[in-house]
Amino acid sequence: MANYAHPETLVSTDWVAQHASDPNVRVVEVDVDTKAYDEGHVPGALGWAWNSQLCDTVRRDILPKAQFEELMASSGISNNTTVVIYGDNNNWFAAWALWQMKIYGHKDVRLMNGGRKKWLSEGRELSKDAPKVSRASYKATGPDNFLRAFLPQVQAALEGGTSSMVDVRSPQEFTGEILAPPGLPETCQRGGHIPGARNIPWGKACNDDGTFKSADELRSLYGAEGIDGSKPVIAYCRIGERSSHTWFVLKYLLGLDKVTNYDGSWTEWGNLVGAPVEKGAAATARA
Amino acid sequence: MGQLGGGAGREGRGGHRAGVTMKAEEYQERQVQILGWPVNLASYRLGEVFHCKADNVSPGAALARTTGTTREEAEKKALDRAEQLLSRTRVHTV
Repeated sequence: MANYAHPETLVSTDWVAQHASDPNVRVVEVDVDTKAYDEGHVPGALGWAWNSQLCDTVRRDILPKAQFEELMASSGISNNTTVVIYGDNNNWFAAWALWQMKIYGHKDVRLMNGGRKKWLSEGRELSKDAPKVSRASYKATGPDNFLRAFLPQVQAALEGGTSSMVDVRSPQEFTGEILAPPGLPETCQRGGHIPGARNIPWGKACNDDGTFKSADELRSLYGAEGIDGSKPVIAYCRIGERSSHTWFVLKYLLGLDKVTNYDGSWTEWGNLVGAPVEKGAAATARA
Repeated sequence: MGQLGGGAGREGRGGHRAGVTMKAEEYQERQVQILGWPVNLASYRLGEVFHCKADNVSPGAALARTTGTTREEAEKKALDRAEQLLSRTRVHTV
């Protein structure tokens, strides 16, 4: 696929149509809008709710390891299952789910290129039935925290200038004009961005049909902002889901080695007492 | 039914396809401005029902998901709801 560094992490809608009922393949839909699955989904696909099944519902965190293992087992996913994830908004939370599966060491997890939008627009089959699945056995590894950035690492990176930071929110969120995507509740005390961050909105990595741009286009997009793999990269957004989309692009489509998703993101940084904040547009990209 | 609840597994065997399937037909997308914000409207028909989803364009966040007996009805509901939400957005001076 389009000369990506790891094309095995992406499948087409055609591939899913042909393989969704393979016994070793499990298709899962993960949407921003958790009601979308009920409207109709890829036949045989399970639905995971990002806000209850893919996070710790007590403290702010990703799914704890034991609960992750339970979710996999109850979804009929074993360690050797090929998992294909797709969702709305060009795979926002699908990428979030994939990121968590990689943190817990799942070997073969892929995104359906174009997500739910492409499946719908192509007039492909939809089902309202949740599939019946047999429970599987699952043992997670990790967590692999080399895929994730926590606040102290971001603070250290900022002080030492050791990483490139990519803010994938919209330009108006980046400048501080708005504190959340239009229409959504404000969830931080201050607007702006982490000083030195580059603003490359997540959607720039996508074509109109929801698929990812080619490797050359992506290389050019990120390279123009100095994101070329010469330094470790930390991606962030508001709550970590849009940045998991960019994390996927940088790590698997462009093959950058050291890319982390700062899922604390702006709802953490923008609420910190004393944290440095930069407002307005970013300075010209550094070489 | 729908999303797996609380990680609970489904009973039964590992079979996949069951029941009736359908297709999204007459899929369309267009962009409109609501209170100055660009909004993407995606609408399509599933069986007898038209569905519409409104997202704000740049961040991409979902604003509304509605249904109607016609595309116009579904879109109007989505636009109304989107306007209601977008009217709450505060723009700060930078």
